[in-house]
Amino acid sequence: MTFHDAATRDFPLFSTDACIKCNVCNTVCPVSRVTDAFPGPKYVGPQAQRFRGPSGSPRSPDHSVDLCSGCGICTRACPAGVLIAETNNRARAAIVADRGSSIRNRLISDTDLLIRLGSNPLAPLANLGLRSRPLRWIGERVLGIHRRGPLAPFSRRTFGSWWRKRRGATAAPPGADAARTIVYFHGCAVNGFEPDLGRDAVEILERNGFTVIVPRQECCGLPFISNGLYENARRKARANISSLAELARAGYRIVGTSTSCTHALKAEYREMLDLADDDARAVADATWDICELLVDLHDRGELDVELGPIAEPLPYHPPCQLKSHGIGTPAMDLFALVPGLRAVDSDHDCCGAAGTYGLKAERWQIAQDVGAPLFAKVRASGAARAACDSETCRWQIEQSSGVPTVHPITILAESYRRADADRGRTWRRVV
Amino acid sequence: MPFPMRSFETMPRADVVVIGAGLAGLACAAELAESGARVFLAAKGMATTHWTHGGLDVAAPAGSLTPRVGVRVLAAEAGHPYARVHAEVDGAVEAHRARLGRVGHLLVGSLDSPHTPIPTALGSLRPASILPSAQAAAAAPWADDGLLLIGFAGFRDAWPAYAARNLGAVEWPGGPRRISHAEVVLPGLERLKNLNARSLAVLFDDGAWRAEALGAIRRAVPPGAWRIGLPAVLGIADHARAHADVEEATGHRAFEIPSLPPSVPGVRLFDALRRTILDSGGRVQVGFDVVDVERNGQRIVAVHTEAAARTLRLAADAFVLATGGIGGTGIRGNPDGSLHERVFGLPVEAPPRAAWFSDDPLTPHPLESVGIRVDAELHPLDPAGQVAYENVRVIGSALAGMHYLEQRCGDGVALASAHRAARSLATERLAA
Amino acid sequence: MTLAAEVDVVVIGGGATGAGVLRDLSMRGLRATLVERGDFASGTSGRYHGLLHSGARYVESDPVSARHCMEENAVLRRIAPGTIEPTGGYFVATPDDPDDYLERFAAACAAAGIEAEPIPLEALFRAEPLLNREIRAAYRVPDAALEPWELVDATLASAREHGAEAHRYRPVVGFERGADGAITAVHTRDARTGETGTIACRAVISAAGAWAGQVAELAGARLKMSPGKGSMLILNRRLTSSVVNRLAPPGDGDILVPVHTVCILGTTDITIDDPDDARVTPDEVDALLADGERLVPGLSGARILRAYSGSRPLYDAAEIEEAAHHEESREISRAHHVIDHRARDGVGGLWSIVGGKLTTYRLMARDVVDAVAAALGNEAPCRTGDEVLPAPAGSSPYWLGDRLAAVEAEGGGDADLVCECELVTRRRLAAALDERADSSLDDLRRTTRLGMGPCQGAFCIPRAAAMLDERRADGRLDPAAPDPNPALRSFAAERFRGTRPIAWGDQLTELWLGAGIMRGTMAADALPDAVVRNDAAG
Repeated sequence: MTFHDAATRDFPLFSTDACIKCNVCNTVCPVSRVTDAFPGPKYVGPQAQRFRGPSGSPRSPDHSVDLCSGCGICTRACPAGVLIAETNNRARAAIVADRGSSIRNRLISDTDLLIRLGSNPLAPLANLGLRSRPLRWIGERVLGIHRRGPLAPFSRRTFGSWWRKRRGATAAPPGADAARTIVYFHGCAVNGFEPDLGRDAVEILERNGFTVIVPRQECCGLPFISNGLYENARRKARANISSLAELARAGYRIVGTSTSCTHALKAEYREMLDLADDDARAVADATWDICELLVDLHDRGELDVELGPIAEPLPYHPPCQLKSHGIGTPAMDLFALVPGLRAVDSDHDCCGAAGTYGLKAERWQIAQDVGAPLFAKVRASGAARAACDSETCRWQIEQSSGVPTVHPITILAESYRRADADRGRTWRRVV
Repeated sequence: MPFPMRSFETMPRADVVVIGAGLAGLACAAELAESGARVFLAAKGMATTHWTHGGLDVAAPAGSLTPRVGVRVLAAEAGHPYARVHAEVDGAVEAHRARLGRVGHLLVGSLDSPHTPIPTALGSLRPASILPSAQAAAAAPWADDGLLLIGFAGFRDAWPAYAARNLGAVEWPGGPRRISHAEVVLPGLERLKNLNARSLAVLFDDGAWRAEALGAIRRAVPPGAWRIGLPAVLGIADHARAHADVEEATGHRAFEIPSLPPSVPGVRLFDALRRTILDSGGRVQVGFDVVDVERNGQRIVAVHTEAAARTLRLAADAFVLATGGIGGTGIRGNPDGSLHERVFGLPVEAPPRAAWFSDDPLTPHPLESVGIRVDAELHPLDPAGQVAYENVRVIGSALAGMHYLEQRCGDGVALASAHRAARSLATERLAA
Repeated sequence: MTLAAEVDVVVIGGGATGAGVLRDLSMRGLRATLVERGDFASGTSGRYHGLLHSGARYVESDPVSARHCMEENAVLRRIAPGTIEPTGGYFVATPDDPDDYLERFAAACAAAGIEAEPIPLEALFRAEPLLNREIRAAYRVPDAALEPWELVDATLASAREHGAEAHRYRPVVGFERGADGAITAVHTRDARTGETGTIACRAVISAAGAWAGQVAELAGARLKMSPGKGSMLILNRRLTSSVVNRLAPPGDGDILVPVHTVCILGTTDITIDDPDDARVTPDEVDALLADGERLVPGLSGARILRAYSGSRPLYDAAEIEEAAHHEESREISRAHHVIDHRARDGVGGLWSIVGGKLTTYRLMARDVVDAVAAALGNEAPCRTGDEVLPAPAGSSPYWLGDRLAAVEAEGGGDADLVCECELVTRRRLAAALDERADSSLDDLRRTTRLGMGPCQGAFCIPRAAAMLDERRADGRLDPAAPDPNPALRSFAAERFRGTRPIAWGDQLTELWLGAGIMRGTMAADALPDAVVRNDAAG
């Protein structure tokens, strides 16, 4: 392995060489904007990196890097190409390796487990617990999950079980045309909390002539990555890569409705977990965000544009993890196709949730302060609902602004159905 | 990969892609958007605005009394960018002023304002003629005003005592009769573990905190006629009001003194210009690093920006290269002594490696004139002097032939070349 | 600080050797004063590779030196653990390295008593993933990284504890000799104030290293030095966590040493006439990079912070009669020599100690002090190897994460940092200025690492200059200290000198950012030279 190979493989850490100490990252960090407890991305990123030993060093000198929310805005603003947020996350993993991780962090990162526990017919009971003030207060004291952390209610039935009941395909049908078949990566949000979003996604894809298959999949592992629990994350990642690699290589696109999951597949498996073999690369290259896909279809003239009117204002917040994709805001381009819809980009940096960050008792206030201007904008819009592509952002915005917040796909599905209604027809799934 | 990537072909189709978000790129994108063109501004990151003092350096070569004279002097230098674009300076500066004015960002001074020495954070003097309103009082005639330099305890990038002593020792014609300094303890500041210009500016945006801070500042002002020089931290979103509040609370004129990066005046400028682009229907994407280029003979067909697991394709009729020189990272030096332009690989004009530097880093380096050679319409030229790409324009500090630090002309060249490029491209569009 | 009027011994040269000599003299009960023409450890000691040798590098070429290194390696770990980072070292055989050297290496180390443990390649690449994968053999040796300024500082502190004095910025300008030709006094000048002084003494030990020839000449003695310029490149980050050497006769860029936050690639060896004329040439940079690529392929693409040179204090007895220059100064022995100038030149009371390596500084000091003490009738034994140096040199071994952990322990924070790159706090600088109130910014750099990070002072130079000014204004700065503005200018120039030979890539961009700040925003080029001492007002 040459230096260049190492630079490519380990590149978050090697990219710190490019830092010219210019402080641009410090001007855009949302956490530094609201608290002086965080020294800022320059300090905890490329600057501190020179004082950290090689990966696997026995001792981590760090503490304050743990305040980084991982939003990644610094990385995008850096004129020199330093992967700052990624460097910070690696430092967090080093802290975890040195000092261990809390039960709370392990618990809230294990969404597959939480879904197994809560997304079942007993969900109403679990949800009662989530709404119970005394229980939430205890949860804060005992586990450190803030009593007002935006936890979504469990769904009674998982998306996975709905798909099984529907007898949906879990593997590529024989003789399938890869170009007309989509692999749907639903992610934990759809699976355990928002299965209707998954149904809308499937419907839209099927409307546009795709066969959807939902192979075996696990949590993308991003919560583990964010909390520095790399070995746990790698287990999830390897399971997903192993399930998806064949399909990717055969030319199937892997589409997700969570910009966080798709970012993990596209980039974080390689950047953070060092999974860069051919299988991992094939999966990354084949992964698409659903709005990204639909806009691409439209570019080719292949998108069904019979969309019915939804005449309302719609504040839209592009999540940080969407910005990290580097694909702009395809949802806004789709909204432009919906007659009457007045979508407005929030133009706000970060909602504050940052995945599990905003749930933590000691971080909750920071998360709320970061998102406060956004919540105010959403409220002031007078809109009946808002839109955002990432789940934890949706839950944060909804809870803190009081305005129901949906995925852009939900709006689109509704618009398709409105067109059906206007034309007096119903769309039937082709099986 | 099996499928082509997201292409901004139809959604949205851009007329012009501007690459680089320094003053030149922002101004060019703003003007193009205002003229009705569909503009996409792609930038790897934010840079030069956030490092510089936020004033408008048009031209201050030795011996020039005003920027207008300075432009004439520099335009007479063969190879200087002003030789190409001096005719645009007036229009460019006024368009810039008007544009900023629409979003509440005011400029004071004109091309005919004399170069006036204003104090720097170290206590030296630099010539200024056009300044943002928060810095403008530094250039007004001193009359009987004394200069009171203020720093904030806990803020490490203001050195009022040092600056005061230096300013007392420099030749300052027309300067203040007396110079004093004070360090003010602002509420809670000394307890803060982390404090830089931006975080301090965010505090100044908070009306409640600001009111307390103003009390402390007011108490530090001795009786008499003063003009107050403060660190450039008087708010970002609310800066006009913050500045007005300082003057009202103290009863004196006040001005900001820019210091080490991050430059809060630069952040304001960036935010303002970005706002004007968005308001005119343009797109601004920071974090879009151009990594590949599609060419067809002498035309650039599209650029590709780095995205997760793929690239993004930006097709357009025309492209504007505003990626800056060495400082803006648009031009990079190589170990073998060559330099390359990172986006299009345009030929770079520079002195030979052995002649790059002078011995004293506080004097100009010959390498500072590095850049791309262009024709009258700002098309980049190849080594034979022919147009390299007919649908590319080069603007700003990527242009060869100027010493922007010594001549204090970077901002003027940025605006004038941006103006020339925008007008040239608008004409082309209408003709097409 | 005023000079002592009379001592037993004057030591000339405040590098490691001189400091070691002063300590040894004082511990044996001799009254001694040291004078150094610049800042302590600003000569070769401050410009070396940063290596605490195991000796394995010299097993073939200079077995005497190898044995000395091996012995002193152990002694320094005992008396100055805080100045040492126990990185360990590797000797590796790259494809360009000769088979015969590899074959003889292990046996030569064994014969010299130096630990050289063969390492399986898999373990090597796991520990050092960036090394050339075509390396065919590797040995582990007890090399380490040694911090020179802390070592010299602590050695001088120990000497002071035992009653000695050390003065910086005091070049020697002449000697007084008695009728018999023996030295009776040393004339010095304060380099900053111009004030002259005289120290009467019974003996002079010249530990001026590469400059020993110049000192000898002042005393009327002859001493031919062949300074060997060694140039090195400082890379922004550690490419390896251990010292890495090539298994070959000594070449140019064949050692990589992790030192604090950087790593240093070196080192060339070119005979020069004037030890003050050590400048890094483009050819040297090319040679270093080409060699470095053999160890770490792609190294030329890593960020390089600066280039610097030091002058090795090489002496060849055979050359004393001729004026010829060596082509390759490496053949000269690194072992040290004690020269008694009475016997050779008729200049009594003058000894010179030349050659050697920083690793063997204590041994060099012992040898010359043995000779001088005997001549002065002092029979106290040498105990410099027994007594641990004062803290922090005498405390726990260096850990890269130390400074960061220290700042983080107080809850993290950049408000107190003057040099952010190297985490130099205001408090640390203040303590350094309290201890030496006549410091320039470059002096502060040596003791605190101010300005030694990626930005090379772009941010910290103005802040530190303001601190100097503040102290000068309230009388806490020594009158001999340079004024803040000249200090700022000369430090900026010094930083630039090191960047210039490697100004490309990210470091060139950094230079432009620094210029934008200094000349653009600060107009530092227009600062006044001197500032009126009393405030005009306020």
